[in-house]
Amino acid sequence: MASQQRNDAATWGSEVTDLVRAASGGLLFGIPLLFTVEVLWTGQHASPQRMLVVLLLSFVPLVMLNRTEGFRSRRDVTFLDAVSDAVEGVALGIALVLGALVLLGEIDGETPTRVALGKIAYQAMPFCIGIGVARHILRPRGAGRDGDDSDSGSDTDSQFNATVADIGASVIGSIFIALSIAPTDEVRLLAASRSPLHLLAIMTVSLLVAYSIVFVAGFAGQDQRHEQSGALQHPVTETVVTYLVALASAWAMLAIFQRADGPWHVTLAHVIVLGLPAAIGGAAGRLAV
Amino acid sequence: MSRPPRPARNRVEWVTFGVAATIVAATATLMVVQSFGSFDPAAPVAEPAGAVRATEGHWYVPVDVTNNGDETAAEVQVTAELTIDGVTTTGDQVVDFLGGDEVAHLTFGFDADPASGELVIRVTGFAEP
Repeated sequence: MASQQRNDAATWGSEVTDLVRAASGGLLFGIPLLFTVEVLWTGQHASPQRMLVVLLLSFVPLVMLNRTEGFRSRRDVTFLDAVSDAVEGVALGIALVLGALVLLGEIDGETPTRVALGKIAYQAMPFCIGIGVARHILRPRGAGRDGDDSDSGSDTDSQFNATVADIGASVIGSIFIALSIAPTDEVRLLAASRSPLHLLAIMTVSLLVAYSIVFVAGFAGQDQRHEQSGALQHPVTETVVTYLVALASAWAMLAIFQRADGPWHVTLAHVIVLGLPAAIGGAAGRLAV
Repeated sequence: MSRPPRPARNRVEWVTFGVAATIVAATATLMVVQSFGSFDPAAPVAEPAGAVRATEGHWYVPVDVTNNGDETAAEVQVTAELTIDGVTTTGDQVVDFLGGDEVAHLTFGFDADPASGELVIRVTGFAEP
């Protein structure tokens, strides 16, 4: 009985890791289009038939990608496995997009069903592709990892160097994902409708996503990070530092494009909204760079 | 790096698949239901929504633009005309896209109290997307 419970817990743990890995890939690939208002508009005026076609088309790349990489730890053997994983991928894409659009105020209680469905259908497509290439985007755990992680923590200098390298990787990752979003009007448009409570929710989600990508999704380097010692290497501390670096990078990018010279509370809202993609990129950067 | 092949689905994976299939089926069903619904042409209308707000010599009039049709309206032109003692002040705004049954919240600003004259708010035109 106890053995069965342990097996179930282990299986659930493995399943959650697979799904978080899929969500991380989806967010990395799909978040830039979430900040593209034209995609939202296209979904807004699409006919239900067209939405259905777009939803069905989302399955095609997922089935193909599941046959090669996909998001599972174990390889899909049969075509049916790939199809069933595609169903899970599309459902996860729909759930992620719905959550993100609610968080950003693009879907609320007043949104007509048809408009919400259109926005979800069009936005879910890039998320589905990201889910399908989750294992391609970042190396899976066990694939080996070059660099200084193996000896980090051995002395004060190496700990310092590892911390500096991590912060640099976070900056690069943040810029990689958020630079193309920073000069657009979408940041201003999305931030304008967000109350302080909404902004707090965006900050909370940004922290959770950053933590999940680095410490839950099962990408390379996760085990080393759990084992690392030092003030900045604890998972919670590292997540907070990653997010602060993402916020600083977001502010710098907005300042470069002359979009950080408004009243401080307006600029802060813009930084928090741009901080969401920056945090996702920053977390991925810690694993990829 | 090669991955181990996948064994038969276990109970946990079946639970995940069941939840996922429900989400996809529900979404697809909603789209099918919507496709069988009515398709009335777009019909955006504008009307005041709530009390006028006054701040330092400026009056702000909240306006709701509602698309009473099913089709989406694009570039919805909304005009507010305030006439006081024969002098008319006009304000214009454009809503880029307004889906069926969707509501856009606008605010028009005037330098005089709208209560002291005649205020006309209307949709002057829109395009099909």
